[in-house]
Amino acid sequence: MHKTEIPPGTLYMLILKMLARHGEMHGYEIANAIERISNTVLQVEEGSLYPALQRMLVKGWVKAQWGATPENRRARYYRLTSAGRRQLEVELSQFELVMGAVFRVIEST
Amino acid sequence: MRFIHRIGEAIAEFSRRIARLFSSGRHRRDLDEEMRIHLALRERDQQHLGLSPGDARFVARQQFGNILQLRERGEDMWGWNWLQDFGQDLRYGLRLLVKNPGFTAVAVLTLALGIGANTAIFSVVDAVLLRPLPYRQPDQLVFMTEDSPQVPGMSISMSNFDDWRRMNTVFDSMLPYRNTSMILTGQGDAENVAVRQVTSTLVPTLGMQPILGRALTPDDDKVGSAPVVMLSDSFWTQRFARDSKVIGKTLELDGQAYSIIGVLPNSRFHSSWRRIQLFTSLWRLEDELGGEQHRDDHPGILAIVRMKPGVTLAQAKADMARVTARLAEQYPDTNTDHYVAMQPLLSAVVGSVSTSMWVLLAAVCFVLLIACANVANLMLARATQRNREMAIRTALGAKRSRLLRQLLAESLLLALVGGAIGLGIAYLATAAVAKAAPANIPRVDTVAVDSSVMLYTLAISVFTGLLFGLFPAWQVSTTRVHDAIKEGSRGGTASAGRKSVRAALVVAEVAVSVVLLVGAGLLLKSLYRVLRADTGFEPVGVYTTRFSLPNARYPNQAKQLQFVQQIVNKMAATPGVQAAGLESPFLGGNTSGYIIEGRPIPNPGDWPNTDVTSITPDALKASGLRLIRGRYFTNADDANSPLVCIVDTMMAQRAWPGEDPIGKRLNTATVVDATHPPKWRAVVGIVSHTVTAVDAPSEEETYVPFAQRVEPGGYLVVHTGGSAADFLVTARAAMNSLDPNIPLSAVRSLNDYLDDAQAPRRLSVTLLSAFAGLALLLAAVGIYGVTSYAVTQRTQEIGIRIALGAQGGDVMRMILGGGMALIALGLAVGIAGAFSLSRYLQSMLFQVQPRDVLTFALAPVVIIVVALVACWLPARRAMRVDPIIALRFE
Repeated sequence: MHKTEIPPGTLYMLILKMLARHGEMHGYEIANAIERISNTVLQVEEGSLYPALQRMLVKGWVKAQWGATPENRRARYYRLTSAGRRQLEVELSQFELVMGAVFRVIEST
Repeated sequence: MRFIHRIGEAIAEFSRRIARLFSSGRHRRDLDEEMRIHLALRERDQQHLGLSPGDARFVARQQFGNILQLRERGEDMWGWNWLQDFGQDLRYGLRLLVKNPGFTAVAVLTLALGIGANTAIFSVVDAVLLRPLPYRQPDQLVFMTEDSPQVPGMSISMSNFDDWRRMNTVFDSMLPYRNTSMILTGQGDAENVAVRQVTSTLVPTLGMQPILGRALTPDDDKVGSAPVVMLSDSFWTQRFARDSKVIGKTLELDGQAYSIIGVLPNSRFHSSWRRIQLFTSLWRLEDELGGEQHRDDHPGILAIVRMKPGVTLAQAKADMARVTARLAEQYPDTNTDHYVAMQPLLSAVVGSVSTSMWVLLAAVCFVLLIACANVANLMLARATQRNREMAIRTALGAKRSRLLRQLLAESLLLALVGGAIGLGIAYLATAAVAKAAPANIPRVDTVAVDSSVMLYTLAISVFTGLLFGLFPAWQVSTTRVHDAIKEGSRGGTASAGRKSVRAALVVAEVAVSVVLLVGAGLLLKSLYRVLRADTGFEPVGVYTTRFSLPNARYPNQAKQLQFVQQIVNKMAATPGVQAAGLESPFLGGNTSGYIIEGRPIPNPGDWPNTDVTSITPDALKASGLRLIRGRYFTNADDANSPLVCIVDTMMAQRAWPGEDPIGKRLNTATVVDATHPPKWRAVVGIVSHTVTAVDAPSEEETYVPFAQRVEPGGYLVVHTGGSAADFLVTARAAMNSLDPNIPLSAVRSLNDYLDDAQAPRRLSVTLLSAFAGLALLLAAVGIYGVTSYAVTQRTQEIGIRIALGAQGGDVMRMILGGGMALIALGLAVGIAGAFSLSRYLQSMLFQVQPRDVLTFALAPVVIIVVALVACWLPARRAMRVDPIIALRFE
């Protein structure tokens, strides 16, 4: 089955969106959620989530805390900060701007 | 608002990064663990989908990506990688250096010498030239003297100073001062103390406060005010053990009671101010020196003035030009062509030595460059051995930039260790310099390794590390993997590029050595010329001591003359004394204008000048001046006989070119008009022209009989067979028999005066020669290293040549030829460099041209000899190569 790499630059937006929808999630959950909701069209190279999460920690968009999964496994949970919520707004509006423009270009033919 | 928010975010982000730095271990473990958990979960889910455990693990890994790379990318996000890598590189570098003690020792020692010499000289330059003066806003301070085309930088007339103060619009405060010496009595033996006469403007001008009591106030500036004195901190410490009850006590100075009003801090004084013991009021004396009749007197007053904030030196000069022009109009007799000379106080203090300091700093920088070239050479040689290591690391995926950084870290480490040892060397050297340096280099006593010097050392260490490390590092990190591993298997031969770099380094070392040798040679030759030059004296066995007669007990010229004649006669009668006399002043008289009988009188500003000295009959004989023609003075030349004088050869030349001066007459009284007829003096003798410093401009001298121009004291000058100590004993005894309350200054031989004048020159010659020697040594080591390395590299080739029948001489010629070709190129570059740089030495040279042929010819000879030895040693080794062993070699 062919899977499409996610468009560059949208990974942060996807992670932010997932966290906004589900509240606390650990890395594996985020990867699965993106894949599931996109009907497995969007495939994240799973490992690349982690450098992205590190950067989001630097930027202060997310906070991380060690916790336990429902099956009582240790996992590191991420949740949005208010700065993260603002960043999501920014990313979404930029994405819409770009996609809108792309659509207009495509439909004009 | 938005902007402030941004800043807040940036600060928060930065503090997160910092926090991360301090708990890097935990953060890395967190990241590793969550990635591990991710893999485990994926593996489990794949197994649930029905994969075998092995397949599940494989799929999980594949989907995840390269864990090591991801971890590194995660770490990168925090932006501290370079620092951690750097620490790692340093540790690795340290291990390597410890494993190669020979290489490390040579490199570190070379750098330590270069950096140490550099730091030591910089600390002198910093203390003497760069450090601001210890006053508030020192840039606004200006040193000021009166000035005329005939007498540049003459001292200031009191009346003129008063007018300058009233008429200028650019100064906040003006501090006139004058050095004098007074006799302190009532505290054990009578003694001379160094006194500076100042005014109440001392405090506002220099911005210092007394550490005890008060400073002079405007009331103390008035004529006839009560005599008061301020002590220097060191005088207070020596005499009163810092007793604060000293205020209000009195000191007996020149027989008068001065009450102590305050203590001034020594630490706030620069150079010449530091040796001053007491401060008294200058304007108290205005009745002696002030007033219109004294406008033409220049009684040794100099001034430090503070420009108003915002006023520049150019503006101040323009304003004072306006003032002096007005005064010249108003007082044409005395002020025609009289101006004001001004320069920043700092440059006035350090001006005389700044050229030689900068030359020395440039010289040690050259030495450091040679040291860098040597270490770079060593690094290149070692880099060849490390080709394989680097190639393997590249093959394993290390980035070029990462290798480059590691190699740079190693050279930085070397440089820093060298710098640390160099700092130690500099510390010892500056302590020695501060102690041994001649006192006539200003501020040299304050030389020390302080924070700014350490910063400089750190900066040049890092700079040298980059300088000698960058090229070898770049070379190694760009080596192609394939070639290196292939070459490495054969033990490695230097690539053509690397070889040419090493050759270039040798050329550079030789060139820089030539420049330094030429510089040192020029200065050495100047020193030789200075020492050989005729001072006009026969200085051996001539001693001097100064005394002055207090006004209270010797109020008139008759008494002063009588005393002087008595003491001179007593000294002359002492066994062993060949001649004794008195001169006032000593070595350079009072500058005075003169006119010559029978010639038209020039305008007031255009009078030529001569230095006038009062002498007793035998004084010139005692100080070893040669009588060229005519006669010395005798006791018959007294106040009642015709006025006479003796001129030196320079004066004779200037005043009577092409004529015989004997019998000609001149006048040194400065005011000549209807009411003041000239007082003609007849020339009775001509003596040799004398100088203490042959390399400084000197004045025409005129000597007049002491009896015809009496002074209250002067310098006893005695030519004796004994020692300085003997002289002091006899002089003291003679003085005690006449007046035990008159102190004698420290005894100095005429040779002391001559040596002092040359002390700064000796110091710069010694240092520059030492640096040239060091450069030569380092260059020799460099040449030896490169030639020796070439021999090792070519052992096989040499073996084949010998096997094919080459003679020892052929091999020797081949190796020497290769080495000497580089030397020749270096010589050419160096001579061209020295040719264009030597003119910067001009002001330090004496009777030597900056492009002196002999020096330019000798320096290359020295280098060629040294280079021959450095090449010959490895060449001899090459000659003895055994072809059998050589071919089996490797």
